[in-house]
Amino acid sequence: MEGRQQRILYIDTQRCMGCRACETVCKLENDLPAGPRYTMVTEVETGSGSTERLNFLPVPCQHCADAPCVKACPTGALYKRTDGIVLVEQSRCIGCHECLMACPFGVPQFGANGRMQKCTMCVHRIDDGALPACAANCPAEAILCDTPEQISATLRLRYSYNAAAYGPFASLLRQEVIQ
Amino acid sequence: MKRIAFDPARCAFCGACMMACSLIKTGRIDPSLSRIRIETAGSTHPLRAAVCTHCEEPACVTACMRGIIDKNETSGLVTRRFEDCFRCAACLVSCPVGAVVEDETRKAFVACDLCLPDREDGRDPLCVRICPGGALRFEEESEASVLARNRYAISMFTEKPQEAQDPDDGQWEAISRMLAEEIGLLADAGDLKAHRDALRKAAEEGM
Repeated sequence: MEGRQQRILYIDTQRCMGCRACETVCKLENDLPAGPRYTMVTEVETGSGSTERLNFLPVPCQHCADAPCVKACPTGALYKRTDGIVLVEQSRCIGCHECLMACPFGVPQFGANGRMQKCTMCVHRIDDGALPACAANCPAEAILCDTPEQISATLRLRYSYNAAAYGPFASLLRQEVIQ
Repeated sequence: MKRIAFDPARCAFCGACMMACSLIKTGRIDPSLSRIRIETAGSTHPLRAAVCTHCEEPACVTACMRGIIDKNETSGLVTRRFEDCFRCAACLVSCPVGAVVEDETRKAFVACDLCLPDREDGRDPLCVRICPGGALRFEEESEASVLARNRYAISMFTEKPQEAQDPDDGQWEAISRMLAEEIGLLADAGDLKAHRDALRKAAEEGM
């Protein structure tokens, strides 16, 4: 497993349009009943008048490098795979909710059995060489799943396309409007 | 089931929850007897709340040698018949949350029961109702998750997160009145503030 790099889920908030395809497809892929949501699209209103804007941000597990949930788990049910994916061994979970209190993103979910479950970055798909369901099905390609280097390259490419079409600081200007 | 959730960003470490809890449970203001404790790690900056989370598979139930701790399958509550406790501290050392407290007045190890009598009237636990900053909430875990996600999203798109506000004199008066109504014990706002200062001093010295 050595040498496999940490993958992350990156959300390009300028592209997300709040269609919730990721939420829907996540529920289907992971066969989730009503209740647990491995990802959730949040809505934040900013500005007023002509600068008013509704922003969207899907919040899946961030698979933190130094994950607070793994540190908080008293039974060692949460662990980090060598490729950086944070997973839970449900049989070891005692349902103490410490991970939910530790997580800054509110990711840990609890289903009918009271044990913790969470976004697995679709580990079964990753192992087959496919993208996670949310990233593969996002119509705006707002969710990227890759190594940080590769994501940086993709974002630079997107910026350069924008710059060629609308001028060099077009996307930066829009960022200002967002804030 | 509903549990007590804690938002450190809204907690000013005023100690009202701990004072109210020790008052309603033991009849005197002594934060060391409180079933909820705000942990700070050597400063007055709140980190987490140590309070019973009523685990799905509680370690204290298996640890208890007298078998006086039970997990109610229907309500999900972890309850204890503490009259029979012989204070072996097995529950204290096994608790992953650090929620067990030794109560001298009852001669037992105790933990939060989510203010059961109150909840029969459909009210939230006293600490949640008394918290002036709204840092304590009584909610389902899914609601806690949605709130945390929204808080994170708001911090992404807007500039500054809110600072926790220290309760002003009016709020202390309100807390004092509420305690008088609930427990029938007159706790002066000045006394409460003195307790808060003592609590902060102890926290800074690293308890």
